[in-house]
Amino acid sequence: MLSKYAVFGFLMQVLFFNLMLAENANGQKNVSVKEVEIALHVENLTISKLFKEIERKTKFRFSVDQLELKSELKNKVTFLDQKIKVSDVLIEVSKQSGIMFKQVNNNINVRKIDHEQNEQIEALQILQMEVEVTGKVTDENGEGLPGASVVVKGTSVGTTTDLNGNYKLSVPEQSILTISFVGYKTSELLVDTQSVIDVQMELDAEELETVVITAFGIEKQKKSLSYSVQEVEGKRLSSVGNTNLVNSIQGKVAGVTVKQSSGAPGSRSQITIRGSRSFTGNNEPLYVIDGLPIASGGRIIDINPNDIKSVNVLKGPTAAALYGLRASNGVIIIETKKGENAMHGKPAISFETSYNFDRVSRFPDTQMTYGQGTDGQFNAFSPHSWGARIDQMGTYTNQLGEQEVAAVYDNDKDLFKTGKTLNSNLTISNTFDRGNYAINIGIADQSGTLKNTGLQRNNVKFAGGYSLSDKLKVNTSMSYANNVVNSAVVPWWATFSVPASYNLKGNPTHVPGEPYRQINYRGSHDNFYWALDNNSDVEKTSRTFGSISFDYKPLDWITIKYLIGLDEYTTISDVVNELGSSAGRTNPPSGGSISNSMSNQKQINSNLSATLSKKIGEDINIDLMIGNETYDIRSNRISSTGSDIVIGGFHHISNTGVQSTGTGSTNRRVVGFFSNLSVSWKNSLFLNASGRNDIVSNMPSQNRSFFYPSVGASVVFTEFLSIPENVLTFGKFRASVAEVGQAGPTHSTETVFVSGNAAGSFNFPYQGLSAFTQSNQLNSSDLQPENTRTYELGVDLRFLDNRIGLDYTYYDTKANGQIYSVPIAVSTGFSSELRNAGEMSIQGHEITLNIKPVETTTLLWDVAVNFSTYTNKVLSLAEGIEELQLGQGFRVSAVALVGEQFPALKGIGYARDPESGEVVVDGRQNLPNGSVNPFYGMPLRTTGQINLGTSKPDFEINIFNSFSFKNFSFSAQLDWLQGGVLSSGYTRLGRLYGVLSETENREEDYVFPGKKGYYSGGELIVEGDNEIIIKRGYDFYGRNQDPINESNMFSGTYVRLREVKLSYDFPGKWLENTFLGSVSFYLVGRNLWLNSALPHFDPEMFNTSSGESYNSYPQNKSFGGGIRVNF
Amino acid sequence: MKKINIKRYLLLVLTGCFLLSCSDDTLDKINKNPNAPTNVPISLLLPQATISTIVGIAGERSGEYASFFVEHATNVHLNPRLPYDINNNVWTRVYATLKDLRTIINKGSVGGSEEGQFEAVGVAKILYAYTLSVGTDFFGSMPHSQALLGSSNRAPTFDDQESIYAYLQTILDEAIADLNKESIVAVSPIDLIFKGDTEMWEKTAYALKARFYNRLSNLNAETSATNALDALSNAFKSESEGFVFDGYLSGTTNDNPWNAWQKREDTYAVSATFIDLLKEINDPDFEDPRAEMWFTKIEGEFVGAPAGQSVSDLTHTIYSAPTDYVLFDAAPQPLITYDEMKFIEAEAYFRKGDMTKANAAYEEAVLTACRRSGITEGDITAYVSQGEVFPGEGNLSLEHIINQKYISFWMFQSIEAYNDYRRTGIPQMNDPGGTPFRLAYPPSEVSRNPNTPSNINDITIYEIPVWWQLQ
Repeated sequence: MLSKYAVFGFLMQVLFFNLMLAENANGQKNVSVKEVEIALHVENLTISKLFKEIERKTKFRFSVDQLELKSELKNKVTFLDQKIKVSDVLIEVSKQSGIMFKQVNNNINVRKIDHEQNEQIEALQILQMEVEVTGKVTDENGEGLPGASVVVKGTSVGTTTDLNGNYKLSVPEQSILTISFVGYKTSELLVDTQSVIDVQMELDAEELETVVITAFGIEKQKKSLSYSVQEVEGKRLSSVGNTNLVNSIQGKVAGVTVKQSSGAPGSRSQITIRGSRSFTGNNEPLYVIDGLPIASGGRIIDINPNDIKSVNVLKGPTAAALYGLRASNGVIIIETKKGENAMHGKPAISFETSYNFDRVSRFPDTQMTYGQGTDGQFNAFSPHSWGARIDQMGTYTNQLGEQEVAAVYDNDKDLFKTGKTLNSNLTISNTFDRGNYAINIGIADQSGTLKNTGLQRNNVKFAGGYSLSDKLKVNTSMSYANNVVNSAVVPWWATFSVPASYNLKGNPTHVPGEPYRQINYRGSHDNFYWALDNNSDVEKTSRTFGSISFDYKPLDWITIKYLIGLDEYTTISDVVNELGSSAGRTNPPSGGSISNSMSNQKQINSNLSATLSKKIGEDINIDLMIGNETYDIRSNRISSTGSDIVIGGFHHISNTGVQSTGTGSTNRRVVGFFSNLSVSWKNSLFLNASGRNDIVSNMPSQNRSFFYPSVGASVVFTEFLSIPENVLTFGKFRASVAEVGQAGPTHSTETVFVSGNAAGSFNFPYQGLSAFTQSNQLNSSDLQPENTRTYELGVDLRFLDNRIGLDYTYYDTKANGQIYSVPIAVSTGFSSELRNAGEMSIQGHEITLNIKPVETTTLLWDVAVNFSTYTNKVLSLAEGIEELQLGQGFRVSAVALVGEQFPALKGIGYARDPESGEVVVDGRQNLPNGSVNPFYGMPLRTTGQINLGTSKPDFEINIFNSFSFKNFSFSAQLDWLQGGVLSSGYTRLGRLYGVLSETENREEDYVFPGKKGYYSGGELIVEGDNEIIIKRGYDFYGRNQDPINESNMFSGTYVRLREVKLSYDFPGKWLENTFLGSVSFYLVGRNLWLNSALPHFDPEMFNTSSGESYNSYPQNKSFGGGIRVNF
Repeated sequence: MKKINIKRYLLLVLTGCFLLSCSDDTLDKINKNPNAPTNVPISLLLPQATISTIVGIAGERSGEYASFFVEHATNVHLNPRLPYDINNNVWTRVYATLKDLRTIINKGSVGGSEEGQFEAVGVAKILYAYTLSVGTDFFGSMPHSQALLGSSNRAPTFDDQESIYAYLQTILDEAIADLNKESIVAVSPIDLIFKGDTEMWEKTAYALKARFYNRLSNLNAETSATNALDALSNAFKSESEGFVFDGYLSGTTNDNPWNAWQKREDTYAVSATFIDLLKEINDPDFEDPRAEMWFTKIEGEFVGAPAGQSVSDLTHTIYSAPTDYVLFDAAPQPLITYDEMKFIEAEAYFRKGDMTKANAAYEEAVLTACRRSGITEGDITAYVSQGEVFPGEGNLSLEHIINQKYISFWMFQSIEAYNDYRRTGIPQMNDPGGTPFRLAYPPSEVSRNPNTPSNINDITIYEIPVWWQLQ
């Protein structure tokens, strides 16, 4: 493992290396004294005359301080050579006479060597003289062209034009400037001695296209693509104060859905691209960093968002087909910051630091009128707030037997503090003759809104490239991350449900002198404060990933690439539930548990490809790629759990009464062969075909090898029409079809026996005997690979000279023969069978719209809109199976239902009048047995679970606005998610306990809107409009409404101001005489405003596969600022 | 030239490495499950199947459910009569246990991979019969002849209870035959109950045969009695013999799971029906000496929880609960006892009209049951001296026999008390919601197996009796 010191030492070395390189990096384009040979035949010539002789024979001119070198100049020298380098002459002179030479361009400065000051001084120094060139780049109308690139040809020395099109650059004489701008023909100009070079650019429709990164890092013209790819710039992802990359992607790419689970530090978010293809399997995309596929899932939190140059999302299987089965859910290609864009020869150092404050985004509205108890009476041990009015409680006996004066406490808000996140990043990058490098160091330190929660992450990355020869280039990217997450172990509802009359903060958390005997107002749950102080959940991860790749170009039409990389991480997790936790709160305290686990994953990737590019005639280009990819993924997990802690405060597993251990590992290898053929005609008609064959370890040997193809075409139809460019600038149709195979889970081609602890709580080994039982999952050695086929159509239009861009995509995906655990009748001996069954379809639309409403030299306004919508339907499960349970919530379950949207939520609903659809309340005053009906006038419920809707939203719109005015820029992102239902377990509890604000009206008369009626023999009889007056007390919220899951179902709709950012770039002239290159300062806000259909809680904290959540922590809103400095 | 050779050599090595990396053998090795075996020997399967039968089939949850039905106990948690997921729980445990037992039988029998382990096969067949009987007694007809075949038959048909009962006798006869065969390996190291005493296993087989014959009293009173008496002659001979698991240990890893469950969930309170029955049998001023040992007191009194009333009492402050003398970490789990043999004998002679033999067996049964409860001989003498306890040959009724058997089954053998209740209607149950005659098939079977009888549901389980039940 890398220690802190090793990293530091490594950095020092790189820096030193860099300074040495800085010296000779400039020496390239000179007429050097070393390169000029002269014939010199002189004897006993004075040095001053020798200088004149050289001046006569060459362009070099000497400048000599005659006074200082008065004596030396009289020294005599002899040279009798036919041909000698000027440099050799000068070195000889230096030796003999103690003088030194410094060549600056064609001037040679002559000075005396000061031996006292510097022994090591060189006799001959060769420096290059540069000329400063200024100029203005203008467009076809003569308007200044901002952002144009001005580069010295053959180097990466360059700059970009300012808002007025002006540039300033120091370049060697005689060099050639390359001036380019998207949509214009590139100009090349010779710098002779002139200092002002103005250029007027010519429009070029050919160059309109941007280049995008596609599968395996292949750069392609965007217009050639037959599928949809969307890019996000790194600077839009970082500096919003969020430590999780996935959360930063939210709303920035059409069709990409991010579901956050909470605002707790290190919390995981779920990302899906274009819906779900698998019932129970993985729906997560593949992540590829600098060409290396890495382990994704929740561990994407190890990535430093500030280190990212760009994110490309390959949404559909056509785009991802070459990556094979890992990419059936799309690919997120991440490019990190590299040195290749740095100024040539001079290390660019950039430092950025930001500070953000997090507050809970939304607290539930609670009632502060009624205190602890039931039926309007105080009860010191009740979990409910259905007690007496607090203002009428007076002095009462609390649960400790003490006299207490009734008062109102805001227990929930008191508990949460302001979270803080400090993010610092240092980037050092450089480009030199044959290569480049970049080093990025990032430190994120976050403290959560709850005590003892937080995240500390350190990232170090090195990326470098080097040309070993003109034909062979080597690139490397190495990252190390160290991530520590401290989480709370008590759910939030344990505070917002505390009665307002109970002083949670003020009361002691434990019996004096007995730290492990909790004090709480209710029996079986932990005191939140006690748990925050005593229980802990710490997860530490060390992760290293990196790759080295070689690019070999033996001929100019052949490229061979090889990449090998490793991603390895180890996570150590320690969870402590201290002695005396929850159920164990007895006298003396008992219970508690300690669990330690360590999991490790190692993933090796090797990728070899060869690309042949040929031009046939004038118009046809052919690219053929063939390749092989092999990857091997191994994971191990060891865990030990001890329960019944013996001594409080000592958190070692030896300090527990009962211990158990577990281990598990998975191994998987995939070998894939792929080929891709691209043909283009006149750079406006493109065809692309690919095929991949995977050989997969985790399939039965006879079905282990499978092939899947893709084919696509695109046509730039504006090339064939004569539409004026200021009307329709560009237009393209694209169409593609692709298949992607998918293998089953690892180690599941044979049915296994499992260690036998199946019988209740009786554990083996027993009396020296171990025990095994056959697993209740039946595995099959006949599994076939899954297949996902996608058709994609799209159109890309740009109007009014690119002021408006519209990209529309339609896709239709069908996932077939899914491998999942199909429920099977228990009488077969098994409860589930892993086999191929079921189909799921997804059809969706995506629109991205880019508008530049204002584009002047001082003011730029950009609008980007993403829209996406899709249907995700379960077509079939398995013969005879209509419903598949995905996750069991406490009341509501997430299920796959044949013919319905995926996933659906099932639960008890309101009984509704079939005619009007209105809710029917119970109209019987007395029950059939004569007793009083406690639910008279309250809603009836359905006789069984019904489909309560899908949690999938109807559509999602994201609007991104950015303005820049002189040195200010401002941007804002608004996310609008429409529809989908969510089941709020927290609202359910808040009503059941009588704490949410709606329960305040418990004494008011109320008529439930709807009809009245009753059930007779299982049939609903509707009698007419309801006019029965009820009170909404515990009988209503706690007993009648609580079992009706529909009463706690809400629309998932929300509109949220996701991000706001204001930044200011310090004017360059302020910094002219400082060591600073540029300074910018920014303020950011995240989640600042929310309008949500869900009451009381933030809708972005109920991400759960079971459809209902009881363990969420609050979501956050944050604000802060930062400063970015380039040296 | 040399350079080219090196390149060729390198290419060859690389190609070789590459081909090896994806050869079927290599990938098969990678896919080999490192976490779980795909085949295990009998020696690892029998301990699990034995404990499964004792815990999952006879004790813990299924035992507790039966005690609610037969009002040995009242559920003082949420739903008083049909606890959540009960049918699924029993159904799943029955088939999981049968599957492992059938694997053992197949492995150890002729043609199996461990052919010749006849002792283990015999033991497995007895456990199989026990488990299958609990299944069919709870559910009636159930998949059996076509069950446990995995994907070869995803929708097994349901065998009627009559054929399952016939099979129970067959498999027990097979077990007896297997136990008398020469076994290549003794079952003793893995026999958690009799430590390899195959004679005791044989007696257990006969004891079960007697129980299953006697179960058919409503179908043929005479034959069932004759067959039961015939089997009894080879079953347990004394109090010291019986099919009882007493290997539970104190602590939390090998303790009695019923005890652990009760400690965790605290749903079990002694039923008012049971406490009232004890009072009813005794003279007004006499208290069954077993009550003191069995039940906790509430303010000095034994308070039974009324059946079918949803009163939550998880702290046991309202109703009596089992004492630590009965329910503790190492509490043994009886499966068939000698006193049950005697009760069956009494009932069989009673049906045959031989009142002398019936009464003798009955008195022996009651005495044995009292001794097993741990009360003193003096208490026993006092107890049996009451007229309702030992009514004498002339007054002995079926009610006396079944009532005393019902008491003897408290608290770990409620399943058999529930069977007797359905067979004889004794004693009187008091749940106002009625007593279920069977369990409904679990939703998983209903939705996944189209052959599941559709007439059995949560309502009809109170109406449709099982085959051998009193009609």
